[in-house]
Amino acid sequence: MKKKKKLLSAVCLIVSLSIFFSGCTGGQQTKTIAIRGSDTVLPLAQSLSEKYMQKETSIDISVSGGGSGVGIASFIGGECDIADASRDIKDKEKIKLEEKGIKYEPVPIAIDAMAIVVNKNNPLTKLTVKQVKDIYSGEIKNWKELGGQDLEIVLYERESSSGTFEVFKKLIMEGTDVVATSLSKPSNGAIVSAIEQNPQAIGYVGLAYVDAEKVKPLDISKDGTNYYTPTEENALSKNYALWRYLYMITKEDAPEHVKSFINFVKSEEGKAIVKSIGYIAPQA
Amino acid sequence: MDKQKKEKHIEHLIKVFAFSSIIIVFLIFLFLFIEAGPTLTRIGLQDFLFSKSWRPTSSPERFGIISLIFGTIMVTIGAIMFAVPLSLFCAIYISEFAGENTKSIIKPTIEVLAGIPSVVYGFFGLVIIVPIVKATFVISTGETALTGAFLLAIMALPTITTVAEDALNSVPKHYREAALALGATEVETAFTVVLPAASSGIAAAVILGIGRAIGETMTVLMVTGGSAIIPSPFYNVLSPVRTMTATLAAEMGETVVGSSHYTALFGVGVVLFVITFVVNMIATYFAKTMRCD
Repeated sequence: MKKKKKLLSAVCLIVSLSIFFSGCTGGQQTKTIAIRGSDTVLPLAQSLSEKYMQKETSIDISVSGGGSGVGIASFIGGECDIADASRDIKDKEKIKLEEKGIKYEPVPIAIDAMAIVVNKNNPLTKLTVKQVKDIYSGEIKNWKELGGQDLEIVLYERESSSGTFEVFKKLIMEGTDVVATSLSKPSNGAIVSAIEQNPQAIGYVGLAYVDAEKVKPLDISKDGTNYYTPTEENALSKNYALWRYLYMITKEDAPEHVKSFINFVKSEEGKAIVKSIGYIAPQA
Repeated sequence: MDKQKKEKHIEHLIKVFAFSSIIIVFLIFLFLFIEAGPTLTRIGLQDFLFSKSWRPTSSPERFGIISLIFGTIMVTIGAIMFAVPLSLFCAIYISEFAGENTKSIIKPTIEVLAGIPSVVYGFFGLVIIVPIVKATFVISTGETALTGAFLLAIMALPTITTVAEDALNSVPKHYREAALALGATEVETAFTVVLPAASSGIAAAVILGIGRAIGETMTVLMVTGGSAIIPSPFYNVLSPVRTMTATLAAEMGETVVGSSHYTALFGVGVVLFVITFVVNMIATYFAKTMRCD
């Protein structure tokens, strides 16, 4: 008898608790937006969603990284509302989207100048696109060949899920493979901290991750005579060779609260946040 | 009568739970093989297992996992070479020489090592061990197989020590008494009588440690550099490597479901599964012979 009583009270407790909690969520009506993807866009997406959640308290936005490929893959799988991407959508991914009948819209939210960075103690200040390619394809192996110290070059690159990696391949490698001995890192931040530690290292990151206290961005030249620093001005004028759009990809038939978030991102207030993070706001 | 029936019901219920774990293993096995299946036709077993180049995003794509297998083996062997002597001496000390007080300090401390999350080991390795390795060996980067092996050794230490200590403890007391009565010193007794008597249990401990090292992901992803290469010369432990687990963790998220890359990653999963399965079988075999003694 005693046991039965215990059981009964336990059941009562569970039932009342579940009613209590369901009441909580039912009453407030929080709408959620899941954002996933590019590690380069991540700090921007985080800052944008924090500001937006302060304005619209009924909306709950979750932001995570993983890489552009991860974001687009989970967008196709329906696991997120917005995919961040630091590269264009690949043909393979477009086919998948069409197969699933998803009508998508890539919204360019910012322009990034991809910076080639080296350790602060490296005397080198500039490289041509061709030299960067030769370094990454393994033809130039020592800093001496570029007028630097007699040290082996240590290459850092991003994992294959990275949009930055794809853009780097497209803008610089032009179909040549990055040499297999290069070291790969899962995020921009990891590249910066690895290069900060190692005076022989070179790597590439998004402009927002260039911290002059930690690493040195190199001036880049397409033609070998005019060198340009990765800055807002040089990216907008397209003089700096390694610029690209950053996107948020949404569905055309996205729910209203997702659309209003995208409108916020495109607004003047959103553009101010883009600038404060270190990226360049697209001109309308 | 009624009570007996109830007993039977409960027995059946427990049986269902027990068998559910077998079903889970079976389903994982099945799922892995089904997803990895297309690898055989698209890439071919020989190319997949023995070609050197792992370039999932180049065109044309290349999926040869020998360098990944090699990376895993190299890091694991390195880890075992550090971990086995360390944990064996540790186990012998705890079981044969330590007093109750010392034991009560050493044992929980070693078990704390098992509770530290692997990402913390990785972070520690990246910030502390990587620069030390770079400076000590005067090499261009400290992200090497050796760094990974060293960290994995610390991680495998509690597994090997605990199991080895159990094995030493299970050696009957009269073995020791007989040895001491014949005039052997305590050290001689420990190394020439107790250690050989526990050898199959110790073998099981070592193999479980190997299993731990093979399956570890986060730490090696963070500190071994991630270059899919076979070092030159092949025994160069100061070269960066990429393990199978790190490849899965870094690449699985972005692959388009059903693509060659996706199935190849499942292929890597199958290879990893088969290796750990065999390792565990061997460990079980040794553990069994220990009990028969």
